[in-house]
Amino acid sequence: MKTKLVATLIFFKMIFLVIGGKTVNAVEEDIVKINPDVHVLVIYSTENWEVDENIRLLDLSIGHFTNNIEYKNVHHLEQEDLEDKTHLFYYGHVKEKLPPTISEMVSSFEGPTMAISYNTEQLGEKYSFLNVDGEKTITKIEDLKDQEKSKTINQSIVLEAKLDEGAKVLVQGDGDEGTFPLIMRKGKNYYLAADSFDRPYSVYFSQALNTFFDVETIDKTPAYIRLEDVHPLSDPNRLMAAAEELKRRDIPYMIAVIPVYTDPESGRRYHFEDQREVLKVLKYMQNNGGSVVLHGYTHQFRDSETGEGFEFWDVEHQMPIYHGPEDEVTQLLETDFENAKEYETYVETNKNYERQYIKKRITRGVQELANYGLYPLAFEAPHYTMSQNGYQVISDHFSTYVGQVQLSDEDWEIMDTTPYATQPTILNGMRLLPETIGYVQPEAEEPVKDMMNSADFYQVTEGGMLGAFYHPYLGIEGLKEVLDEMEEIKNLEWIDLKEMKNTVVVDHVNIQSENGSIEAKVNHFGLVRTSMDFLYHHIREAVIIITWVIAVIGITSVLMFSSFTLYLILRRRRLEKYIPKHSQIIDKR
Amino acid sequence: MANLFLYLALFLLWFMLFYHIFLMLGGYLEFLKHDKVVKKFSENKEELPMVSILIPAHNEQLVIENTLQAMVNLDYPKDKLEVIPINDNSNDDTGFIVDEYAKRYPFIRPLHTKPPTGGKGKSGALNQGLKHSTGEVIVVYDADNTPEPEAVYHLVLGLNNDKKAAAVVGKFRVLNATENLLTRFINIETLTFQWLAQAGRWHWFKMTTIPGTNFAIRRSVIEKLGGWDEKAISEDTELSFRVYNAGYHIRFFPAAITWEQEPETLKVWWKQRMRWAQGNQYVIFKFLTQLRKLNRKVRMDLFYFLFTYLFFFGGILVSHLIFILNLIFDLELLIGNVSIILLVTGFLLFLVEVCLALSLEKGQLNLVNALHVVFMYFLYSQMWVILVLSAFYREAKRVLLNQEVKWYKTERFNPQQNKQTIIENSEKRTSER
Repeated sequence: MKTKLVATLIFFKMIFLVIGGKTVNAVEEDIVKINPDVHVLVIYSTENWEVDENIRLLDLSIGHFTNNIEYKNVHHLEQEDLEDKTHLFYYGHVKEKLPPTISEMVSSFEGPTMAISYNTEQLGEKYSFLNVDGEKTITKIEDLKDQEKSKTINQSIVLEAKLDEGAKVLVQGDGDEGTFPLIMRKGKNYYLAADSFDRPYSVYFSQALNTFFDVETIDKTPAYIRLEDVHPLSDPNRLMAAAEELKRRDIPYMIAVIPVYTDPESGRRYHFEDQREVLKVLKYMQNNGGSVVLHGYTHQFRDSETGEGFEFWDVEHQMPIYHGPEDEVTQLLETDFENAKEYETYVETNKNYERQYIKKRITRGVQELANYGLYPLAFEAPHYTMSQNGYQVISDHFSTYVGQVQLSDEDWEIMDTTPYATQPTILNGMRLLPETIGYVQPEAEEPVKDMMNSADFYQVTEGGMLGAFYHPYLGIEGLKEVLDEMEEIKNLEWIDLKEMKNTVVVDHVNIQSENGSIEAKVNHFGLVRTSMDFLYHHIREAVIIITWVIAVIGITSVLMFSSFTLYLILRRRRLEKYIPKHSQIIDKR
Repeated sequence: MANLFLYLALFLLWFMLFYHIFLMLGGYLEFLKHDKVVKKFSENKEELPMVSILIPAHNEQLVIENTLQAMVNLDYPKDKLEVIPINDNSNDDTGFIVDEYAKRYPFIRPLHTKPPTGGKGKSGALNQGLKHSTGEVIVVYDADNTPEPEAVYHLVLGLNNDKKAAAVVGKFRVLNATENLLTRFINIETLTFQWLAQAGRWHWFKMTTIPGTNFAIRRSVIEKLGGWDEKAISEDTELSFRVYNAGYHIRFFPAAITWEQEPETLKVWWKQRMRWAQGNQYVIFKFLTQLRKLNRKVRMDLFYFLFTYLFFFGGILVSHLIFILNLIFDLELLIGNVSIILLVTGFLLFLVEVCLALSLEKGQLNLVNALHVVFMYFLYSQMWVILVLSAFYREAKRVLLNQEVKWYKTERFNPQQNKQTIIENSEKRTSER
């Protein structure tokens, strides 16, 4: 008897484990591999001795494995910087004379070391296994461990590295001039023979980092699809079609929502409360697999159109938003100031302006959506453009960022993505869900094929993210095509923002998500105190309900009175029939 | 902004419409039980009181004879009846006709008034008549009325059986209902008014507005209230307020029927209705200023009047305005499809309520009348809108410029043309019983 009970208990426990196991192993848990015990030091040589876009791109790559990363210019490095570090990077983006102490310091470091690009000959004994000289062109990349990962590429440059015996090539390039090592190691010391590692090298580099950090990859390919640029004037029918298609396929997805549409002609602003049909669809989406991503507040600046314009970057002056839309823009250089302090004040004033501007807009954006009952779980900057300062502001309010990352404060076009979901330093703790494979470009000949080529490419990185987006105004066919193709991908798993732990906090609104549910705390009273507009929406909803109630009571009354009238008519007829008969009887008497 | 006004107008209108639904329901329920009430009251053989009938008449030579003839035909013990035609400063043959009748019938005891006591309007004439009367019960008829023989008996029956009722109001029917489009409209209007507003309010609140004719009031009450307000143009409404503020019922008793002549031309209609509208606005403002002295029920009824004459019409005007403006400009109204449903429902409500009221009168709900009801919505109802608006304007002007109140006497039509109708109607009447 007792054994039976125990057996039953064990049986139920097993069932529980099987069922519960799904949540434990959900792909959302594994998309970043942050190890708190890993401490990384990145030493760099850059043109102006500062962290630039190249270093930031490296930051995106490393951020998948750890969020303890320190950056040091090679000229400022001191021995104590190496203390407590487990992994070391040296990125020699420019050829330069390194301080003589470097070789000693690098040599003394005991953990794995990764060198990138130039100046390896000055790193001391660790890198004596290679000799870098000259450049070569390659058209193919081969992964020596896995032939399936070999890809034909556009002509690319590698640095020609000659290796000692005992060194091992992990990835090599192939071209007319022969084969050349791209990623190689000897023992714990690694080298990437390229001066930068954006595509196509990034996927091989990130894959190699798994070995470097000794991380086991997942055998799943996390993926997401995002419905892009949904604003109040979006066509609700097309949105609904997309929502139903995704629901039918049981695919969780994201919706990049812009709370305000600005008409470029009239300058008029449309909010969702004016477009109840669209709002209704968005709510349906949120309840049926969709997760809202705040995509700016107006997705425009000055008088440009929503969805077209840049909101957090002044594209006309190629600079962050340091001024009002009507203000005259002056860009001053350090040389325009008498002393460094004045310049510093100027820079700080500008950054402060930008901070306030961004904060105001995203606060209002989240508040408006939350007031409608739409709860954004992540942020995506319009056109992915935003200054480094901007990302800091976003990180105060959002825990997740979706898209690509602008890497320079001088040129918005310097932006990039990274194969893995990551938590890089430049995003100040935010989790980045990178968009990697692009979108359906209507002007392209075979847009879906282009996307699938990219998808194929990004699968080189095991467990790399396939992030795609789609503009629902293009109609449902394109979406179906993309989904059909993506669903063909082996081991693909759609990530669900709601399954992940996300936090969004602005004044009066606190949104948390985890395990598939959203918990939103909205202080409606506080919202109304900030602006009566928030009340207006609720009044209007109430008024609309009241009008329908009126209509129902009205119609009921019409039916009621009609039946009374009919009853009276019939009663009178019956009476009239009866009276003559009755009188006849009297007559006969 | 347009949206705000639209919803405000919409809610005001529908507030009124719901109240009307409620009243119509009351009217219908009252109809269903009225026969039983009459039967029960008739069984109670109480002694009939002395009745004085007051008929104010100012230049009524065209119609007064019919009225007096109807008095002669009344089915009420003549020894308990006193008919007092008040020939109020007439300069036509009214006085002569009245005197001729008085010679033949001793219970007709005319009163001729001249300025300074006479010629002050209906209220003044009634107060004069009241002074000369002796009856326990005062009944009032307009000079253009021909009550059915049992009318006065039924009014008295109502008072005898309802001690809380200070007054009993009968029903009036239209003599010249089929004369032209206007009188058809008026016929439908009066039937609806009586079953919806009068019977409905009686059913729910034990309140009816005294219509100025075909009603009986206890002498004790009218004396206590100090007679009629001579400054009020619609002295009947004014009196009603005072009666139920004093805590009495005003019973609606549709078994007491009178027939009256209605305006046949637009000009006469306009003048008559203008008098009512202005008069009612006077009453509204008179009692609004003494709101604290009023009891709850009266306040509610006053509010109803206020709504009818101010907000309801305001709502109609605003919604008309928005409708027209929206045809010209894009007002970006948010209301959407429900507005069409409400529009149609509102119209249908009007239709079914009026049809139900018509169906309460034998032979009134026929195809011709039903078509007129549809037509009425678009024509007659709109005429009312214009009328109330200009009445409001005039009353405002009167108050601001402190003008004197004048008695706009309704112009009469030669009843010779209607003789045929009277006979027909009296035949119908008898067959109805």
